[in-house]
Amino acid sequence: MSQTVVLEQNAVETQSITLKFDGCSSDANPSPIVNPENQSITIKFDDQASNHHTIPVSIPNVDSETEAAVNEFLRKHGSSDEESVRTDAMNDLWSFIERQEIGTVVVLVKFASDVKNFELLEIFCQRVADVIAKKTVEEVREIFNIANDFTPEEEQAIRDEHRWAFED
Amino acid sequence: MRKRARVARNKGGNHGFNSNDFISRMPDDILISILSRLPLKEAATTSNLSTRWRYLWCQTYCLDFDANEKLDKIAVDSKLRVVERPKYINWVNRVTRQHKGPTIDDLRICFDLDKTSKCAIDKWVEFAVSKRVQKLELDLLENGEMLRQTPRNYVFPIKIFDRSSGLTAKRPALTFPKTVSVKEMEIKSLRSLLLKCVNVSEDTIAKLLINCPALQHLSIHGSGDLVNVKISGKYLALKYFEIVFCFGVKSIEITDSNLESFSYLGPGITITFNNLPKLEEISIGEGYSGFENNVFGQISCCISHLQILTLDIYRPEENIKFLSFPELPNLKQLILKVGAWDDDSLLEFTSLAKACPKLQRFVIQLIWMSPAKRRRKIRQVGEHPHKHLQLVEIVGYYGRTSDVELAVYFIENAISLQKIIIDPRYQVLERTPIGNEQMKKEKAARSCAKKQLEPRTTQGVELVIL
Repeated sequence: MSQTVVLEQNAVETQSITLKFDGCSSDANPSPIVNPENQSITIKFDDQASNHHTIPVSIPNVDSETEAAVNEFLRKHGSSDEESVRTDAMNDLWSFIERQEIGTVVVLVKFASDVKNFELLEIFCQRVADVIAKKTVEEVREIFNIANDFTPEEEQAIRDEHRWAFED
Repeated sequence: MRKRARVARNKGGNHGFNSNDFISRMPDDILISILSRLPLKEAATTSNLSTRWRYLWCQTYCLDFDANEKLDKIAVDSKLRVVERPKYINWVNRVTRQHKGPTIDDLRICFDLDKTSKCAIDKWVEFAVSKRVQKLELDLLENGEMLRQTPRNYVFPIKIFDRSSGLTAKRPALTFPKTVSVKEMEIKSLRSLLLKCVNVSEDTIAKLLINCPALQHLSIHGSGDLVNVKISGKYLALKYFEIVFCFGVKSIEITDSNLESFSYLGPGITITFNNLPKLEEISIGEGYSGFENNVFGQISCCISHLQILTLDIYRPEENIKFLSFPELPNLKQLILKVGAWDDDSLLEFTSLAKACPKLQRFVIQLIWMSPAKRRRKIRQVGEHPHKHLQLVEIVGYYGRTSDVELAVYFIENAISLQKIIIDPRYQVLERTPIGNEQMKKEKAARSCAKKQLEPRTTQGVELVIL
């Protein structure tokens, strides 16, 4: 099995996000999206190399460093039953992921979920959580480019409803 | 669609994602997994990020109602409890009512609550069970740090777990098909139950073990109502069992089980162990000396396969010199928690280390009771190679002659020693903030450690002073 994650920003407007994994495609975004306005993201899994037995993880548009690090982790982690080797591999991946831009981490989360590698998913999700923690709502919106689509009344209503969360 | 405004901003309910907003496009379950890793307050604030995020946090797997900051404040001014208690209860009620996900992994309640809050806590436990909770923790210590007089404790609502009792006439309107077997009534999800200042009876424990076949970890602190505890059965999933400061307990009997770890702290009691082939970790402290009731005799059936032993010795007795310890042939880690009084010599404890031929890690944790530094000569005791001992930790190093003595003993004798860790900090975790006196003592201890041990550390041994 071989997958490649290609991240492109198309000028062409498309209605949905298609994930092709090993040749079969599926509409892999079950969340209730009303189509995005201008640009869209296509995450393609290039299945050209599907006859190979190894899984090189390459994410173009990003440092080949990312690819190398994830590969190295997978190799090291799977290479030994010894606790210390696996912990070292884990620690290496951690220090690597902490140096990455958040956009890369988000893409990695999705990838880990799609290939169902729960160890990777655990690490990447935890990293995203660490980035969100201790930041204000405005700061989080900025980091992840989340658009605030609430009316001011709605925002206030939410703050009132969960006052315990918003007070210090 | 082209006609709509570029980035929908003022229309609620329209998910107008920015082109660069990758994260909001991820499926619900991934986002919920991320939110479940945040403290509850922070998870709830994400409801304000955008409409996409508004209700995601309501499906979090982890509900840790941590109120440590409030408990710290109450520790300083106990009158605050009157106001804070209902606030806490309301908080938990609101969040549990809003929770939408089908399951939760963890529910943790941590506040000063007693039997006066029975109605509320019962509902929370029911909620947890209905959401197939795996780890349930009720930490109801008085002021968040002390044991309560047990008659005032909240009583564990075993009825919620003992489904078969629900079939009685209490609710005649409920139609249970007669064919529902006991197996279907089992609570298969619960793996871990931690109770502090919750009253539990022997009958409760028995029913828990029957109705929760996946229960691996059971920990009970400060409970009334327990007298003679019996645990037996190869089919039990129980791996870890702990009883701490349950003062009514007279005996604990554990036989024919696959228990892996046992912990007891409290007055001297009768402990009967039999046929526990997997019991590799024991933590024990009976009475003031820690050795009342012939502890080693009580755990004798496990001595041959014991890997980790922790001993709680509040008041080391004079006669510790004369107690003969059996050999612990497979023990890899020996951890001693010892009260530090005056400048009593600690060298007696080396005889315990000597009785463990395969020892790899030795830890002594000194709880500062009334430590004092005395000028006296450093004593030596008989040599011993400690062939496998690689790591020694002296936690609560004060700088007394007895502390130096012990460190020097290991540096000089343990031929395989790689690292010695010295932690000069006060060991009792209290809610009231550390006073200046304490900070001064820690600073003094730290500099003592440097002065006393750096010159004595040999090549090849790493000295770490925290």
